[in-house]
Amino acid sequence: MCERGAWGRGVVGVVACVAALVASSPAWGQEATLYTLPTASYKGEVSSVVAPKIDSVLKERLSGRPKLKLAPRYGEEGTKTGNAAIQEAKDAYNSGIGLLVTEDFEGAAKKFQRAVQLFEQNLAGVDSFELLADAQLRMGLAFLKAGFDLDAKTALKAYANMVPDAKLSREDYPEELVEQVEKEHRRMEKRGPGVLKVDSTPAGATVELDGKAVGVTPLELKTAPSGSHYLVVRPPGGGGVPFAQKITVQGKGEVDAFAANLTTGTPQVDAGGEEGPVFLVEAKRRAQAGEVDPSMAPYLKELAEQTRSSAVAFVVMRKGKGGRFVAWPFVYEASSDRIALLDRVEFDASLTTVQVDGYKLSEALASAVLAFPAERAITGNPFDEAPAVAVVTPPTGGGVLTPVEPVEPAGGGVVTPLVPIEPVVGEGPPVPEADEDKWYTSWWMWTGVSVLVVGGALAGGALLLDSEAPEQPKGFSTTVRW
Amino acid sequence: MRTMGRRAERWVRAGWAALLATGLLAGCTEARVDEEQLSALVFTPEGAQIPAVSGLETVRLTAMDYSRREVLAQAEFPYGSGGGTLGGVTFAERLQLVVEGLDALGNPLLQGRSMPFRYLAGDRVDAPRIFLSTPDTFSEATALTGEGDALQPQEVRFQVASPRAGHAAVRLKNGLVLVVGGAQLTTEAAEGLALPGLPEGLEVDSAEDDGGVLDTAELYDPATGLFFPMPSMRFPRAFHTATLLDDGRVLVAGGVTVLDGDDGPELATLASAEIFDPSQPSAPWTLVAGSGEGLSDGRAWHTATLRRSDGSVVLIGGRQIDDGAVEVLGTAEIFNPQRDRFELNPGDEPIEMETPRAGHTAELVLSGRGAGKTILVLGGEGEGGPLRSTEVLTVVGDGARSAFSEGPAMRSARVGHASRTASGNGGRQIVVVGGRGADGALVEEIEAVDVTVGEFTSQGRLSELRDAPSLIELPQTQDMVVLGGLGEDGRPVRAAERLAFNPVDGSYTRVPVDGPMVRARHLHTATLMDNGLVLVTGGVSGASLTSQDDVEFFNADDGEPGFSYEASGGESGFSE
Repeated sequence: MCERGAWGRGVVGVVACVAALVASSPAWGQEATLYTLPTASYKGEVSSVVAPKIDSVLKERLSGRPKLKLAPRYGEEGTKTGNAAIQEAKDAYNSGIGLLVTEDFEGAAKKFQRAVQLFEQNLAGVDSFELLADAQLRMGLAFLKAGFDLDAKTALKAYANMVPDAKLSREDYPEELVEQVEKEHRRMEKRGPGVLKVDSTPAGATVELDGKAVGVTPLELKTAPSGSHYLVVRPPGGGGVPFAQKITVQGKGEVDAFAANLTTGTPQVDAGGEEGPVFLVEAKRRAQAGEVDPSMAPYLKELAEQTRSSAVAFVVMRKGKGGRFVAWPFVYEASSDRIALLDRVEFDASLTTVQVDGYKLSEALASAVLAFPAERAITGNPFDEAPAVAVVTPPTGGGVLTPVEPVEPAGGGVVTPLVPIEPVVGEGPPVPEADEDKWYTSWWMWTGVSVLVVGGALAGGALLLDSEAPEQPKGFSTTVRW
Repeated sequence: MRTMGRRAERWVRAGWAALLATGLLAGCTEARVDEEQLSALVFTPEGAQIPAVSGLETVRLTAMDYSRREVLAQAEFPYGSGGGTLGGVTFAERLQLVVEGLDALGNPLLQGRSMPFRYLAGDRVDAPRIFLSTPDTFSEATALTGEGDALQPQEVRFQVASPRAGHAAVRLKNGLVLVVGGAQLTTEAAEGLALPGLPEGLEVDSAEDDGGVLDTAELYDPATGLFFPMPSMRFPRAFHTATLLDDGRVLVAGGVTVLDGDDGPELATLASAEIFDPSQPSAPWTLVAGSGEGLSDGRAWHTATLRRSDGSVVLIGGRQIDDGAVEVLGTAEIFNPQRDRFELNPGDEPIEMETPRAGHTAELVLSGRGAGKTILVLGGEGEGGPLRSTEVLTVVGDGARSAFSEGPAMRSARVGHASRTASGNGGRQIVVVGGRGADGALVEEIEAVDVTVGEFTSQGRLSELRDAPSLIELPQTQDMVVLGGLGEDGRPVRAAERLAFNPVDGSYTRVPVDGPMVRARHLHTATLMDNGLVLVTGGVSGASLTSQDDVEFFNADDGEPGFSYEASGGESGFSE
């Protein structure tokens, strides 16, 4: 009977949680956006097959979860990555050179045009602006040879603007080409330099004009050569999203001003693996190294902001007893800037129940994203200390899992084995005295209470829904001063 | 019978209390929700406040659902109160705030509207900026710059600081205005190149950068009131066309440019077209159909009309300049947005016009069986001078072919006129104003054709005769505004006039506009924006007819907030 009473209290606990979730979740009825880091293997403890497998199940489960939207991971958006595009540009440039040699001038012009286009679309990733300038020059040459004078003029003008001190030999290039470049140089000289003003938020960003560093923001460059150029403003500290644009400097001492907001830009899609913005690389590194403590929050905050996510979730896999694996799920909530460690979930050694266990893990993460468990926020590194939070994960109903004393694993660190043990009575909410004759220890009484509470929760939920998301105001007031 | 223990009783009571609390919580949450606050900034060229205009007594604040043209909340405050708060405005996808300074009789002395903006619960919205001016007048284009107490009005000019005339402006789907290309024209050119169809002596100054023709583009943002430089086009162009495609991109086609000829700079028409994609504003322009020869003919002074039935753009007529020889074109070609290329009829068969023409206008027919796909081409200059004739481009056969046929003749021959399909009267009417007639004199009469009848009728006369005016239709009153152009004395015209629409009989009555333009302009652009202002840019002005780099607003005074005429009969398959 004692066991039955405990089971009843378990049911009440679960139902109460549901009721609390219904009534208190601020995200109720709204969609949360979640960014997930790749599932990490704690210090390489688990095999390279396990983490990706669990990661795949987790993503599949989370992506189908109502009210939750998964933000695409860096490098997963189906678009060509910046580095790949630059490589394609270089390939196109090389093909153009080949076609010039074989005197297929129209084909060469198209290749150079493609190269320039790809470079221009990925300015922030261009590692050699000399190559871009050369592509412009050779495109001009190819167009000239192919008889497209106007296209040639445009390309050569761009080249002359980029390389104001270029001296082309009439022995190497056609007279017409050299003249065109010199003519543009004369025009630039006649116009004189312009003033280029660049501001950025935050300040202190590195400003590059045609690939050359010309200062840091706020910058007033009084000798900017006139004509079209490529401006790249890189955030201070090396991370973040650069501002990149093809610009025109008017010359004649006129001011051209640009303001780069480096805090709200769209993140550039980057390659997967270890590449990516600094905050992403660091967050992944810390997850894998088990360096999960509040000092990780700034990286996760930046990650959430850049991916417009309200939360970031990640799972660190560790070795458990008997060849099993233990998933340590963490959720970072952007609004409170805190990281919570959720109930750990165990996976069997051969991952035969990976779908079931993965479901449990995804549910725990999703619930925590929708209603952040503030009481589980970490204050130190849980991998370094004994777990402060009880591990409670009823696998399929029946029995309660509670932590046992941590044991020292062979590989170092501290793990908490998860094994079913006899429930401990005497902690938590008030527990009625064990008395078989008393009605409130009987199973039907607790079932009745459960029904009442569930009914209440449903009714409350219905009322909440009926009141059209009462957490949000329906309108606003506007003030005008004159 | 068992009795309930005291602890058990407490549990049950606690359970009921929890249930009750849940219900109460659900019922009462709404009562403690506060309204969100939004500040709006008003300004005039004089400062960031409402100036003390003589007779100004009250300030009326109105919040509108812009899409539905529905007033959501409205309140009046004494001008002396220095401010007011309009409460109870419901969230909407497209909101517009209207501020009016009223006299004792409720007549607006000052008026301004914000750009439509989205404001839903939890959104962060920047303070809308509202430019106030006297209704039905022009004023210097002004933006409010700075922050906090340092807010101050600033005169707005092109960002690129190149004067422009013969340029193009197009309102994008997001309400911004793209200004592109144009030429540096003057009668005092250091190295002048004469252009066909322009007043004698007005030339491109080829001594200027790029031979006096511009490849630059800039974007005007009405929410901030500032221009932002955009990537330059691949080729400098003037007297080209810019057309907003259904997918939001902009197609710029043809135009005239200056080349380095053997004997110095020379004019040439461009056979290329390029596309600007506002969703990728820093991306370079894309040339249509490859490396530069997208059109079958180089052309300028042509028309470009979006055919709503299939989203294609039809380029019609124009002039071709080749080796100094000028030819008036009698062909059309069609941009296919699905393939991003220009096409002729199947089998590359040319689409021949009835009469070659340039300086004509072309209007999409919005009524009847050809609604959205038939184009009426009006007047223009043919080989023998200005034309009275019109012609109609229809889609024939299985829809794959386009063919011209003769249309009803206008009452006067015209070239350099303006025309517009009126949305009033069920889209049946096309209005024509201005231009030069057969004898070279300016045409006084306003005429209109009901496309379901096919006969041009007189709609009165302009008070100021003008060549190449702008003609704007206002969406609510359905009035038309005629502004700018070249007058009888060979100087640009400053006065504007309004053709007031009468919804009862579909007629127009000419009335003067209260205030003249800040600057008389010809070869300018005029674009109606969502804040009710017409953005008038560049053009030539002054005794030397020199290209300008300044901009002005016309407060179009399109009726009170929420005002609109009901559709006045007829049938129209499309709406603006």
